[in-house]
Amino acid sequence: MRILISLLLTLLPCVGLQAHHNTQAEFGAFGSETTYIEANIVSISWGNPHVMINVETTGGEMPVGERLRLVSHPINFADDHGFVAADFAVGDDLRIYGWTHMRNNPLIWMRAIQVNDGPMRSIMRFTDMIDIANGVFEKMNMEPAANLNGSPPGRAGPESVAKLREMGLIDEDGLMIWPPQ
Amino acid sequence: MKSALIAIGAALLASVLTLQFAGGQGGLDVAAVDERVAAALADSAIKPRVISFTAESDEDSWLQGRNRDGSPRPGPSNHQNPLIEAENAVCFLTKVEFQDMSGAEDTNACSVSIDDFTGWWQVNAILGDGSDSSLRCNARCIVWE
Repeated sequence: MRILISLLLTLLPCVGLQAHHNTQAEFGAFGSETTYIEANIVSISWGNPHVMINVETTGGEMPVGERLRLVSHPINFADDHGFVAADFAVGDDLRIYGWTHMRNNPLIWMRAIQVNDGPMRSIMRFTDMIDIANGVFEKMNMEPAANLNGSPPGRAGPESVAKLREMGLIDEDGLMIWPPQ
Repeated sequence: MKSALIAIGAALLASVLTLQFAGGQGGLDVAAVDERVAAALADSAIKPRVISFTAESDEDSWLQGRNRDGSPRPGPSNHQNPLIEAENAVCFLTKVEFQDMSGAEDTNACSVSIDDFTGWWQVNAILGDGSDSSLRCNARCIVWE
């Protein structure tokens, strides 16, 4: 029986992974270094399984004139993070922190986005948690993901969860507390 | 082996040029296309020296019409997975797997296409409107340099 339970516990994370595209296999770990890009929106495809924004770069850490596709969560997850299609329009100027594709596909997975003169807003709650745990988030001048407070922190990794717990940022139900109280 | 590769290269070039010249036209004037392809081949600066084949993408382009708990998560949904720059490659499907097809609404599709914006070949997994089935698609590409 014990062996069976161990086997099930081993397999459970695999079941979870099957439900989503493996973002970290494509773009690197949630806590890995991001690239900063400035770009102009050419077209928008706000759909499933990933919202997508086609952009032409205008500056930042990539050459000007590159054509890239910014990708992120499904519509409902983007909504949970505080982003809706109406936030974006063709011609808008964007500033983006994101992860380049590990095999150099013309894709960027978005970490945070600023539209025109608006605030820089996170679209990755688990990376927020990692950055908070590492003590760097508040220096980034970035609004946290809308669903950060009350989120289960497991996907930020055990090391970050332990740090957040030490910082008093995990409640008795094991959920993230933000802002600090 | 060498002659086989050259034959493949010529066939590929002809196919690509045919697509390029004939794409998007309703009626196809085969004779005119043949003439233009022959002229293009004669004038072409493309002299492929190396023909290679890409592996399948590490991750399939895939969609599931159901959540982990079995509840439906129906389409429409379109997952696009870039493959390679289209300039000197042609791609073809190598995997088309549909599962849990149970009704007329389960209209899924795998395809390869050139993305107009990025200029890359991509493999598309398309879950039809209302479909709660699942699919996996993948592709390989022939590249000439």
